[in-house]
Amino acid sequence: MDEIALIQEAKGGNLDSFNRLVQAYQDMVYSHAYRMFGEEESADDATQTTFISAYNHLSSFRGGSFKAWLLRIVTNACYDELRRRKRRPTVPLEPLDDTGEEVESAHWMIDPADQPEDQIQRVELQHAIQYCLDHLPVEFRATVIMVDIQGMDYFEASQAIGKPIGTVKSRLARARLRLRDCLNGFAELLPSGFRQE
Amino acid sequence: MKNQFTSRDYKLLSAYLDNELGIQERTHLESRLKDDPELRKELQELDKTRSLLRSLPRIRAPRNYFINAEVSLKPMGVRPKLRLVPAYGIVSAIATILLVLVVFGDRLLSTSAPASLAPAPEAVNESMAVQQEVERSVASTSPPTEAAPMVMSEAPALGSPLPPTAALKIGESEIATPTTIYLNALPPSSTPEVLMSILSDQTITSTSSCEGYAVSGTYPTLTYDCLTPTGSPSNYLQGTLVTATPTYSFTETPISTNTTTPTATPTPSPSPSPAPTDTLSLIPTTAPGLELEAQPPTTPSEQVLDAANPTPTESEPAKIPGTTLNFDFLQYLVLAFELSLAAIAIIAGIIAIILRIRAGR
Repeated sequence: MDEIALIQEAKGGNLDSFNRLVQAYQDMVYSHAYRMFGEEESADDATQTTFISAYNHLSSFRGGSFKAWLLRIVTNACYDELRRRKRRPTVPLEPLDDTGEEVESAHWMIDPADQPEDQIQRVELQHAIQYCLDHLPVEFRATVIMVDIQGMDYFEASQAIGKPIGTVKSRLARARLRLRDCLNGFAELLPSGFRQE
Repeated sequence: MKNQFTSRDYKLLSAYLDNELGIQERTHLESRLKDDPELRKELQELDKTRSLLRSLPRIRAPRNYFINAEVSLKPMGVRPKLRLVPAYGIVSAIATILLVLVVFGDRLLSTSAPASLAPAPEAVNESMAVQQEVERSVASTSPPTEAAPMVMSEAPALGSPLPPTAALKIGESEIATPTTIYLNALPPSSTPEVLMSILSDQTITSTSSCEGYAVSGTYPTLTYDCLTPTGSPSNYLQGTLVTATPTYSFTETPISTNTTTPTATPTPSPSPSPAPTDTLSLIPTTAPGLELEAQPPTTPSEQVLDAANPTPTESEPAKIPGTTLNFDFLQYLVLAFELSLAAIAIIAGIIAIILRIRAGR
């Protein structure tokens, strides 16, 4: 069954049809939320909120790209959460070791000796990219995730962020420029072909 | 060297990488790229950054986010309830501002009250006109009956510095309050006419009972005066005249109650008969705190002369103490009510602000 038919049935109250749409898009929504937050718990909450909100407001979907509509919902959910964090900064709870001392970050607990060298370097590079994404302005971050990570074109991205295509172009160029400057600080992690000369 | 390119150049390079440029812009940029190696280098660096981002692995959802019936019916957090919070805040703020304006506006008006409470020239003129009409009506009436001298004989005793009798005390306390209430309900224009009819009737026959007025319905509040524990027709006359005097004063200028009283006081005085003169001496006894009680009793003729030519200096000290108490009490009561309303509105506004702050979290 195609997407439009599933949407129409879901609008009629068919929960199974909507859940098939959820199954088709949950990876994309979760990935977008994860790149926006840089951590799993908030991404999980934002994804859950997105699909509940999408189901409750499915009647407001007037056609077009369902993917862009979902990304707009999850982007707004991320904006709300990030604004809330900005008003009330919190310190994330770090896991404790056997002696009761805090472990700085769970993903640093992975023993590098157990992994091949290139895999270690790839993971560290991903962390570096995520670090640079986290330090982008929220609007730039959402745009560059949509276009460069989710693979959307400018029109879809403009629909997803609710701004004109010119705004998408501008935000994307500035985001790429900042990311380039940020990643230059992790030159040792970059593959040889990616290092700045 | 990198600073030689503008943000528009980077915007064109970024869009060029995504093949989002028009034909004309694309052709122009490609010609620039051929001639400018620095621009080509910038394009390559942006392309590498873009490739790094695209090399990130697609993250899979850790679980399924299927919607069940319970989840779909559950409201999204507390957002629907919180939509009214800004409206509460706005309404409370407006109410607070209005009530504060009312309170301070009342205070400002009270500061300018002495000017407004001064006897208006129109009121004085009207009182003089009423005196002239009373003189004309009295001139055409018959001489006072035998009951009048009784009143005259009792008047000096009541007006003396000696403590008043218990019956008079009861009459004072009962007369003051209901008369004021009735006066506020009467239209100002009609009151002097009613008063004149009452005064003329009383000067013609001082033995007429107040029940007659009650039955006739011309002056319904006089039924209250009938409850005054008096034993003689002269006391009936005293009660009606005493209640009639503040009636006229309050209806002339309802806002400035304590200043119009002196204008009405001489109303019955122009009559040459002794009865109205005695009522003049009784007026201080009905108004608590009047200083006229301490004055030595004068002859009826002297009282007529004094009352016929009243001066503001004579009348003001006699009225202000008695009426200021009631006016101040009423003013403080209204002020307390307004302050309590303002306090409620401020508390409501603070609660709304707290709710609004908590809603934003």
